[in-house]
Amino acid sequence: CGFHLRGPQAMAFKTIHLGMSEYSDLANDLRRQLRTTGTTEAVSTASDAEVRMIVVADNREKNILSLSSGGTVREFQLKRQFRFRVLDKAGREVMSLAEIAVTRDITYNDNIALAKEQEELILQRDMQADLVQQIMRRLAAIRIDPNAPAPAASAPTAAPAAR
Amino acid sequence: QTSSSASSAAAAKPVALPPALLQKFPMLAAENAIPLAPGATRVRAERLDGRNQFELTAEGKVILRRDSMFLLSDRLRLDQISNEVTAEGNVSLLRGRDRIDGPRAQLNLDTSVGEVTKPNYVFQRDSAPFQKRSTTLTATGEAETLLLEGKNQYRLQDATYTTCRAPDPDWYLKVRDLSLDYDRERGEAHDAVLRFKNVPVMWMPWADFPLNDSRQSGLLPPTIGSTSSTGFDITQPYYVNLAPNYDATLAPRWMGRRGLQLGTEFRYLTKSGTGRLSGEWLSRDQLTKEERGLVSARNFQDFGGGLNGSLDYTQVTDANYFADLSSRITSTSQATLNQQAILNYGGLPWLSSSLNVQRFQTLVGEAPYDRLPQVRADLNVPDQLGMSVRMPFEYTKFEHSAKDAGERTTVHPQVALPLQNSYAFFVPKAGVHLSHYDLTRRTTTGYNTLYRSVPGFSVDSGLTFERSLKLGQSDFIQTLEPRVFYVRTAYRDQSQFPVFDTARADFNFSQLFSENIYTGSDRIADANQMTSAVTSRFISEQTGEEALRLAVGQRFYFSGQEVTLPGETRRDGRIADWLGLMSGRVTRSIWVDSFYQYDPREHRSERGVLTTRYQPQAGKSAAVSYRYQRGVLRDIDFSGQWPVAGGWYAVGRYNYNLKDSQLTEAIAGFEYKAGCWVLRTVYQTLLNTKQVRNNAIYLQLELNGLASVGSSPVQLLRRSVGGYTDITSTGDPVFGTSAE
Repeated sequence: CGFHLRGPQAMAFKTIHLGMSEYSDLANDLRRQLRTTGTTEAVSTASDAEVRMIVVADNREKNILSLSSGGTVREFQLKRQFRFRVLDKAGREVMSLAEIAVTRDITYNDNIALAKEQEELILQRDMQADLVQQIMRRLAAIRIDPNAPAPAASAPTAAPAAR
Repeated sequence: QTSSSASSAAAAKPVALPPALLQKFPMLAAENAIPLAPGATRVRAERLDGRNQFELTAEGKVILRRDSMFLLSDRLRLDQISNEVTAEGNVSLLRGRDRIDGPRAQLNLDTSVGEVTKPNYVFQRDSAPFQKRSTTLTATGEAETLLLEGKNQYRLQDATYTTCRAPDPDWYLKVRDLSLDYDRERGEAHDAVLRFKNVPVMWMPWADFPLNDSRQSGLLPPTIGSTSSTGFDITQPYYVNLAPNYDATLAPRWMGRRGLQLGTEFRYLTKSGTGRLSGEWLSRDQLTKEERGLVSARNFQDFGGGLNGSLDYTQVTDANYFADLSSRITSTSQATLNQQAILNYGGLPWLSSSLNVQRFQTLVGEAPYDRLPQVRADLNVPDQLGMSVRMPFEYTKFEHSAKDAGERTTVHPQVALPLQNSYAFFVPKAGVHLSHYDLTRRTTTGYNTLYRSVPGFSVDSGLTFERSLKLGQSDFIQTLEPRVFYVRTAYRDQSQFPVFDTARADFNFSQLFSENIYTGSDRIADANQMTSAVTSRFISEQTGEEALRLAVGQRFYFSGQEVTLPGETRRDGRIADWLGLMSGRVTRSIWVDSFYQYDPREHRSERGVLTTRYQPQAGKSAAVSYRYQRGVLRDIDFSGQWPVAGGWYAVGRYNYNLKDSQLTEAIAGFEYKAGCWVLRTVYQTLLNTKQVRNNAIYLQLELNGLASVGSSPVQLLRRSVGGYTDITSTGDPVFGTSAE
């Protein structure tokens, strides 16, 4: 039926700067996954990197999905929304703004609030693993055209302090 | 003829001029092309008359230029000593992108101070640069007198002001005294009447508004409503913009049935931290005859070097506080309030640790355990000499007023030997759960000191296959990812162990690949079981985007269950529930999110979710969702936003509890989008924890670039309606952030 074992996932760049806190779990997981490609490595200084990841948003939400007849929560939806772009050394966009949203539903009961909190942590880790895998797929799809024109001088610069 | 005063500096660039004026003043284009030095003045007219270098008079299609300013008129007199200019007849003053027309103008060219009588004006500015959607705001109107008070300052008397397209704007302000300061991007109106469709809707003795959509201090429009438990309900917030990253809102609220409540919120955002402090106080509730209030703090601070801390604290005076005084589902559904401080340290690559102090205020039902404190440290050394070593440690002191209480220490050292390449992974792992309990109070039967060691091992393995697939116009990679997971955990009798934080986990794809069927550390389930699952993803060849995911999974038990929680019935049978899911985009405009759990022993469905959303374009979506959990819930949910006709959108949600035949939440409303305003009206009914309904009506009029009047239902709609799109054409940062 045309399926074959997945070949090596060579990326179009050798070094990447992740653009997030060095200490974050997500950075750790991404670094580890990048190492398994054998082609690409995360570097800690942006100026040393062939491409730079710009994290536009990394939001976590917890929304109510259903209520009991007593008005208390029966199900939550956990959501992690990650938006990012990738630029090359010259500031050219090699991957335009992409959004990855990962969700998990969790049943809830106030009588076991602590157990549910632990379960939520497990699901958050599971969502992060999912997110990392999807980010890796996006990075692997990047193609770099060395002859692309430099960005126009008038291109808008980064926005000032977020609000 | 022309006249110009000389200057030596660089010439000004030509200015973009309105075509209508270019027609009226044929020489304007030619004049505009002539370079002009900064500070120099040029006058061109059909007749020029200069008297002894002190005064200049001009007549007939007069054009006066200075820097980027043009002053056009029929007649003009310029005092060359004071640089005072008086223009009469068909006067047009062009400054940058501003244009003022009137019969007469007087202006000092040096100070830019002057006056235009009976003017019509058009002022154009771009909206605040930090906003997502940069738009141009055009303010137009007329006035009795327009005072020029400098390069970017205007003051208008008996004026109108609108950001709608002239003529015949849908709304405008009629203001006795209006100041527009384009340096500070701020407008101030005294004695203003807002007229909507020529009907006066609101009078303001004083109002302060942003000229570029940014945040400004001032009165925010009031929220007016009526709910069953508060009666007539009006909140008048005052917004204080302390600094770009600090702000505060003061919100006095009058509730007809309960009295005057004072609310306040302070927010900050710095490079290393963010936080919100808020409080509410009702000195005497007229119904309960009691003082009622709320304090809440939510902060996050990054101390650098991998150390960060967060605080989440909410306290209310009584258990019915939210049910009585709030109409927000996130508040009314709360059974407990979290009071927690956490300090995290992750500065070392192989260690993450945290200190957690947590209590709860219980509003409904049973109180959870307080954790005073909880210390965690997770030693994690991956990929060393082909080995990964992990050792999570946890110490917690559990406190409760009525149940078992005491200390628990657990540590779970484990060693894995992961093997991985591009298409396969194989991870054997062995570990031992070590636990120690030291109880200070025992209400269940058993010893006060308990010790447990539970060894176990697992093998996780998987393969990844791929193939190229063309679906319609798009190229996809389809993956096929079989995974097999085996767990063996020794049996230890734990019936004497207390239960602090442990319960059965939901059976889902995450749980399939977990070693323990419980979350929390009070029960380590005996296991001899095999899980297998297959996932298939459709990934865009071009972008790497995952479009669709399908998965099925199942667990097989080689032995029966020995360890249970109190009151839990033992599992029988060898086969666990089947799991399936499908999630993603099925066609260009149809999204599906589904999960299904089937019990093959009893031949029945345990849990299921099916959500389908049809969204052919922004502002047009319809979603239906069915949720089932055997014995717990059976819900159906319809929601949508749909354009009805000519700018009208219907929005709604209907969430019905089929199990108890009861409406949980319903929302119905309309939105109307005109060129320069949006009107929304939404009715919401919601079940609260007192099992009564909180009903609320939201009515909001949003005027582009000026303000929104009334309470905003946008957050509510965004949360409740699948695929909801905000139809407002410009953002509204001041009011858009108000809570749902």
